[in-house]
Amino acid sequence: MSIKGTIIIKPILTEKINALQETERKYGFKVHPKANKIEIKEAVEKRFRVKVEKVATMNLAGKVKNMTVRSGGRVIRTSGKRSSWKKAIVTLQKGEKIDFYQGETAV
Amino acid sequence: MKVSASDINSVQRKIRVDFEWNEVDANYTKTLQKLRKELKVDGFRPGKVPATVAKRLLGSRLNYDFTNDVIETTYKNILKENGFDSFIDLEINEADYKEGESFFYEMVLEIDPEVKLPNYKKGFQVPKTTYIVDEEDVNLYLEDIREHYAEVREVDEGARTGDFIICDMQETDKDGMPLIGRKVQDRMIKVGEGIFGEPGSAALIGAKAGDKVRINITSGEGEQVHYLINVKRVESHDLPELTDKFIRENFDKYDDLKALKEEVEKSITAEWENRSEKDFLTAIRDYFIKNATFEVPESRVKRFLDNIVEDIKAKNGNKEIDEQKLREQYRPMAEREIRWYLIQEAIDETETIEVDDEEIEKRIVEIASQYPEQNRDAVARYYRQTENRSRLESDLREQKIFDYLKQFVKIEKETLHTAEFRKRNM
Repeated sequence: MSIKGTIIIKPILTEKINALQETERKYGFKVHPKANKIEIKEAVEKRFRVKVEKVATMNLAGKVKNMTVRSGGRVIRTSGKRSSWKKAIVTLQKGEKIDFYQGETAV
Repeated sequence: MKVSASDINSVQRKIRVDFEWNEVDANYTKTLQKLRKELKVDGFRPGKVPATVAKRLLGSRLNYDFTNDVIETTYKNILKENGFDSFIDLEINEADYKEGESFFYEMVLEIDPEVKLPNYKKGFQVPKTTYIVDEEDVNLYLEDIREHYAEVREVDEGARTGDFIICDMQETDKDGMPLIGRKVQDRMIKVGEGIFGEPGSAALIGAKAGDKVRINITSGEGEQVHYLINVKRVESHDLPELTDKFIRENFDKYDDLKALKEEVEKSITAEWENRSEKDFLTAIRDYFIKNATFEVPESRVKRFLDNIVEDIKAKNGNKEIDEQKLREQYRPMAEREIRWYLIQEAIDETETIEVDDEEIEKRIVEIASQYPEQNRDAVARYYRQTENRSRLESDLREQKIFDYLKQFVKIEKETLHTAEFRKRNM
């Protein structure tokens, strides 16, 4: 099955990424785990109409989480695992910019 | 900052204030900082959301708070510095900005109009009626005294003309069905007089306690009105003869009927003189209300009507009232009162009519002295309360204004017999 169209899952908006955006034109995305750098570059260029200079990717293992479950009147402590995911840091060419908040007015 | 003013009409003025961005930049940054601290966005610690992101997310709230902040911190000074600080109502009409470029807002001030007084110093004509008191006034008063001292006797043998019937009166339709809300209890009717007059009273003759009597009369508008009278008691009032002996026994101050009559005549004359003076002052007031030219500010009328509606609501408890109708009904009165108030202000401004503390205090003592000794302190305390004191002050001021205006009045003298007056007002 083609992963085209589902490559970019969502942008990552955090203080750290924001600092990278402002200083180094680096934007973070959660991407499909099977997407490669070339596919990510194409997807970003097409979706946001910008020129990409470089793509860095990393696979992040899902964190193990402990939890308490009640079952049949018994309380058991067990552990689970969050999904592993892939992060891409996309560097745009000089003069390029992505506005994730365009048109958004909340609060 | 640039301030420009233009008149909309004689009681409304538009003020436009334009700012360069650097004059309001501090307000913008302050507002943004404050709102940023409250903004919660995933991935950012509170207060750390980037300004550009925060601006987008805050949107209209940032607009509103920033605009308000600029207006609140500047309008008072602007009005004061530009000589617009005496206004009766202020409304912000429009406010807008372009970040980094400019900011403006527009206020509409309602101001008291320039009152153009008629040329009253040339003299103006006002009617004044002198009432002529006659024997009939005195006799009517003496009749009241006789009634007051009447010997009341219950009548068992049926009412006659001149007797009094104490009854409940229920208005009904022509078939005798009671009309809701049209019942009066414990009403005293004099047989042959009062609301039923001679024709209506015919049915009451011979009535005894416990009887139910139906009466049909024709109203002033020519309509048939039907009543069911439930007679509770029939009384005869035996009026005493006003002899010198009776006067001496019942009045400490008078030795005979002649002295009482003289006193009654004096007091009635004083009452009619008061009425004449009151009407005269009203006529002076009406002359100014009619001849002074200016527009009445709508906000003053609105406030006046608000107070009236509030008062009526408070008096009526939870009862529904038609507020719109009330406002229409009281509007002419509100406009008249406001016109007179502004006219007084205008006269006061040119002639400097002042009421000082001493005069107010003197008047308080005067009012208190009319009450029994033990109540005088309480009365004086009541009139020394701020609100009551200021009402008293405005009454005194009005009196002084009338005293001042009287010198310009050319009185159109009229005389009227009190009997004629009664006939006209029947």
